[in-house]
Amino acid sequence: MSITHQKRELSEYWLSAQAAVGAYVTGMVLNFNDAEDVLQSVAAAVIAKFDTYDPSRPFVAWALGIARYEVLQYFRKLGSDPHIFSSEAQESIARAYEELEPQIDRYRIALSRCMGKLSSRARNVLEWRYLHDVKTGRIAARLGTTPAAVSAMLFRIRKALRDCIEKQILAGEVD
Amino acid sequence: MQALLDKYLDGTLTREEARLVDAWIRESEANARVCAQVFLQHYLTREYMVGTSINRLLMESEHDPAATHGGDEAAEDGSALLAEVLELEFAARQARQRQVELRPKQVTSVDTLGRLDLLCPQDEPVVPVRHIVIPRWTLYLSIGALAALLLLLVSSHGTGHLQQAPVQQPTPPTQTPVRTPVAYLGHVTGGRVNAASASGKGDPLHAGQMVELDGGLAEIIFERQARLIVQGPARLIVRSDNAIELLAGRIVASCPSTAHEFTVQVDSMRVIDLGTEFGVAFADPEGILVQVYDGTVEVDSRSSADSANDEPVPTRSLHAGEAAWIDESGNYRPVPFNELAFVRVREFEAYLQAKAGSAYHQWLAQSHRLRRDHHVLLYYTFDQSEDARYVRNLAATGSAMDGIVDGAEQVSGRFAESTALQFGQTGSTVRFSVPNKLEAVTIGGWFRLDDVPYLIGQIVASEDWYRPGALHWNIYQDGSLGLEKSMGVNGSGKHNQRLTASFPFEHYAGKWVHLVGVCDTRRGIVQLYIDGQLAAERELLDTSPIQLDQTLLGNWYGETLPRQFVGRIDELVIFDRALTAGEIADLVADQWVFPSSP
Repeated sequence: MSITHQKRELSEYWLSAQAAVGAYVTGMVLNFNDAEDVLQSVAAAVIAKFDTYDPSRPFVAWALGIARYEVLQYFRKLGSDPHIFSSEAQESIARAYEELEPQIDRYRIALSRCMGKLSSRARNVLEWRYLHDVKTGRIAARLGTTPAAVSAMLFRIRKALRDCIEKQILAGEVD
Repeated sequence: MQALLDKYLDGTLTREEARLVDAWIRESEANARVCAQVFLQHYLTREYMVGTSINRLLMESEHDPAATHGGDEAAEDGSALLAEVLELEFAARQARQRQVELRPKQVTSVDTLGRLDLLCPQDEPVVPVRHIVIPRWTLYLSIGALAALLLLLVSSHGTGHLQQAPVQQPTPPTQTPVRTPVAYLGHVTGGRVNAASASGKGDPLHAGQMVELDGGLAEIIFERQARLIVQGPARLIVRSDNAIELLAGRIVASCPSTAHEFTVQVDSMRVIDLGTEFGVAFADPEGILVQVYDGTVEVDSRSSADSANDEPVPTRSLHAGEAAWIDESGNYRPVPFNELAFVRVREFEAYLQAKAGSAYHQWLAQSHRLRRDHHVLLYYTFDQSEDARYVRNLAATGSAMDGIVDGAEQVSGRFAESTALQFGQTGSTVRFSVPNKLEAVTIGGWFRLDDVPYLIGQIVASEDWYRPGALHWNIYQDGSLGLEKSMGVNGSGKHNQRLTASFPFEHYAGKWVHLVGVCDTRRGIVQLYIDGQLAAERELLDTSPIQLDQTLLGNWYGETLPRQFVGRIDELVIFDRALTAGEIADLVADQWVFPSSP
C-alpha cells in the first residue's frame, strides 16, 4: 500500500471516528481546552499506531481504546482523579459509541439545522458555555440572573435541541 | 436522568448524584447509549460553535485583499488535505511533547478565539489559515480537524509567547459546586417524601433535586416565595428558585409577586405564572391539565427546538375559572373548571389544622373529603356567598344541584368560621332538584332546632309527595323524628310508609344535632340516626326506586297546614348509597380521611 493511499485511508477512518472519539473524550474531560488537548493526543497516537490497526476490527472501537488510555493518562498527569465514572461505566459508554458512530453524521446535520432555530439569546448562552467555556455562574452574572436559572435555561435549550434532533432523525429529514 | 447528565457536563453534579448516574449507566446498554447521545450532543454543540466561529474568521480572510485566493481549481481533495492535517498533527504532537518535557503544563482560561489571538506572536500573520483556500464542503467536513490543526500549529509557533504568559496552575476539570438551597420542604401529610437527604419540614432542596411523594400532600416553599402543594403520588425536579419540572402527578402553585413567572415545565411544555394560583396535572400521553384559580397563566406548548426559541410565538393564556388539556403538539382542549381537580392551599391547610386537632378544621378537612366523594350527589355547607339567593352545591355533580334560597337568612353556624341558614320566617326554604332514581339514599346534616310551632316541621320534602319514590323527613310536635317514603296513590288513597324515632324537643332545643336518614330499597330497610347513633330502623315494604326530584329544605307547601322548620341548618349532604353505621358515626365525629388523587 502506498503512503498516499495509507494517508487517505487513515484520514477517512479518522473522519468517520473523530466525532465518536471526541464525544467520548469531551464527556470524560469536562474542561473543553483540556479535552481538545487530549483529543489531539488521541489523534497523534492514532497516526503513530496506525500500522498496528487490524482492519478487520471496527476502527472506531480501536480509536476509542486509545482514547480511553489517553483520558487515563490525562488524569494521571493531573495528579488527581476527579473523574466520576467507574471503569465499567466508561467501557459501557465507549461501547455505545461503536453503535452510534454510523448515525453521527445525521446527528451533526440535524443539530446544525436545529441550531438555526434558536433565538439569539439562546445562541448567546450556548456560545458563552460552548465556545468561550464560561461556567454557569459567570453567565448568570452577565445575564443578571442566578446560576440555577442559567442551568435551567441550558437544560431547556439542550432538551429542546435533543427533541429537535430526535424529531428530524425519526422523520427521516436528515437521511 | 438526562438532567443529571447535563449537570455532570456543567460540573455541578454532587458525589451522590454521580454515584446514581454511574449505577444507572452500568444498569443497561440502553442507558449507556442515552449517556453517549447526551455526550455526543455536547461535543457536537462545541464543534458547531467553534466551527461557525472559525468559519467567520475564514469569511473575513476571504474578504481581506491580503489573503491569497486560488479559486475552485486550486481546491484540494478533502481527504488528502486531512491526511496532511493529521500528519502535521503528529509532527506537532512530537514537538509539543518535547515542550511538555521542558515546562509545566500550562492552561489558559481564555476562550478558543482569544487563545488563537493570544498564542500568535503579534508580528506574525496566521499563515496556515490565510493561505489555505478550502472548498466550502470540505470546510464543513474538516472543521473540527482544522481547529485542532490551528491550535497545534499556532502552539508550536507561539511557544515563546506562552512561556512569557503568566503561569497558571492546572484547572481541575470538574468544579466543586456551591450548593445553595433554592427551596425548602414544608409540611408533609398523608404520605412520605423521598428527595435525597430531604424528607421532612424545613429540609433544603437544591436545583436539580428530584422530589418524590408516594401519596398524600407535600408543600414546597421556594426562595422566591412561590408555594407549591404537591399531590401524591407525584414526582418532580426542583429546577431553580422559581421553577420545577413535573414528571408525574399534580401540583398547585400559589405565586406572590416575588415569584412572578414561576414556571412549571412538563416535557417541552411550560406553564408560566403571571401572578396567580393554578394547578397542573400531568397525564402521559394525554398531556397536561391546567386549571387557573386566580389570575392568569401562560401556557407555552412549543415543542422541540421551538421551545428554546425566545422569539414571540403564539401561546395560550388561561384566566381564573378556566381549565384546559394541552398536549405537546399544542392541541388545546378546554374542559369545565373543576374545583375538586386539585388540592389547593386552603384545603391543604385544613388537613394540617385537622391533624393539629382544631374542631373547625377537623370538620373542614372532612368537608373537603365529602366534596371529593363520588357518592355525594349534593353537598351544601351554606358558606357565605356574594349572592345570598343561591346555595352552591359543592359536590362533584356541580351547579345542576345548586339551591335557590327563599326567605332563609345567613347566620353563624356550628363554628365561628362557618355559616348556616336560619329558617323561621314563614315560607323560608331552599329549593333544589335531585332527579336521579336511586336504589338507596342517605340524607344527613347539622340542625339546631329553635322551636316546633306546627304539628309538623319539614326538614326535607319531595315537592310532589303523591308520586311513588318521594321522601319526606320531618320533625313532629309530639317529639318524634320521622322518615317517610311515598308509595303513590291508588284506589284507596295515598300510601306511604313511615319510620319514626323519639326526638324530644326539650332535649334538643337550641343545640346542634346531627341527623341522618337512610332509605335502602335494595336491602329493604329504612333507618334514622341521631348524633351518629341508630335511633330507629324498620323494614321497607316498598322497594321501588327512590326519587326526590323537586325538593324543599325546611318547608313544604303540599297541605294547608304550615310545615315550617324553625331553626338553623349548617350542612346538608345527600349520598346515592346507604352509609353504614360506622360511616355515619365518622360523619358526626368529623373523622377525616385523607383523599386519594382523583
